[in-house]
Amino acid sequence: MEAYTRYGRALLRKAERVLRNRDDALDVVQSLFQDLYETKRHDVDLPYLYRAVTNRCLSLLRDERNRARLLAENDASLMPQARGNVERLDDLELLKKLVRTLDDETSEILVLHYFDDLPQEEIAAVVGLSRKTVGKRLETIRETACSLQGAPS
Amino acid sequence: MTLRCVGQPVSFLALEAYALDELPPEAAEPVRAHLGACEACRKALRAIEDDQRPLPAFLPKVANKPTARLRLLRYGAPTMAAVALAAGVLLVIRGSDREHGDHRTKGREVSLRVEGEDPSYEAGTLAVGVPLKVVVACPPSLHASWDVVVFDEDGASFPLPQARITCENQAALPGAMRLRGASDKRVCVVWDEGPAPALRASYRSEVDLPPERSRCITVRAVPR
Repeated sequence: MEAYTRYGRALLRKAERVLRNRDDALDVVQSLFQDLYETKRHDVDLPYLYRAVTNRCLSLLRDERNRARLLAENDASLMPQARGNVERLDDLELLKKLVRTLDDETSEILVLHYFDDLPQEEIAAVVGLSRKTVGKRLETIRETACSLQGAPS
Repeated sequence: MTLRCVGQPVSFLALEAYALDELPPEAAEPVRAHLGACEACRKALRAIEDDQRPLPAFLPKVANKPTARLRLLRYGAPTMAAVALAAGVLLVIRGSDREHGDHRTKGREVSLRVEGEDPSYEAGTLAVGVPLKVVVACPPSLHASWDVVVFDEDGASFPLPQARITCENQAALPGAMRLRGASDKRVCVVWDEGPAPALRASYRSEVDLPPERSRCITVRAVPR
């Protein structure tokens, strides 16, 4: 599958950033392309696939059955080196709590902001919201993170 | 030391698209200019370009469709016994207790057997067309998703839905399957304590099964 060959590595890197687990990242990317293959979707570009990977990673993180395993297999080396002025969310436990607390759209914004380093204007374009609304959602994420930190899992 | 971006960091999506030369000129130019001035983003791009880890081959899902030589039908499909009898090709398939290896998972023993659902089922023999149940013995502490894979010369087939079960001495996997054909089969169970069963596409032959999370028996077809 041509798109897999072309975009597979980029998508693996993205899934690894979020999941911090190579095997799960591979599963996410493989299953995405299997579904595309079955539905004969070939007209896919990188932004579309990036978003699809985001959603699949979020589904995996939300599933309580993965919790212990993901935490146990957390490979922090899969996180890219931070650039000084980007916000990062390095705490996988907190990330899992957040995506179980936040709605789907806000969770997607979380990934775009904290893991893809997308500026607010681009996040707004991806999710179809105004920049102002995206800013508010990011505030919600920060507030939720504060309230969840230290909360029992 | 963490490098500080000189302005608004180039997103990973833009960096990946830039590395693939997929950004339109009007988007590529500001990225190029930013990279010229920003060591932090240059380093992020280099990390992308230097990532030469092999990309595993894409594996389409293995068809759940029965093969020509071996047909495994979900329970409730047309009765294969009648077909087999009419064709005069009734076979007996004898379950064998030969297992490959001594597979254990985290010190916990899992065993597997195949049983006939038909009341006339004779111990140790399984008639073609008779609904077969896959029964495992596994420790209650094992919480996993289970899948059944049948291998023969035509490759892998998945006759039953993947399922989570409560482990016990005789835990039957949901559903039943029917076997047809004159060749021996390897009936395997594979389990995964993760969120979902492993991708079926990765099991194309028995050697693909994770030894620590699978168990197989030979089901032998014996002409009668």
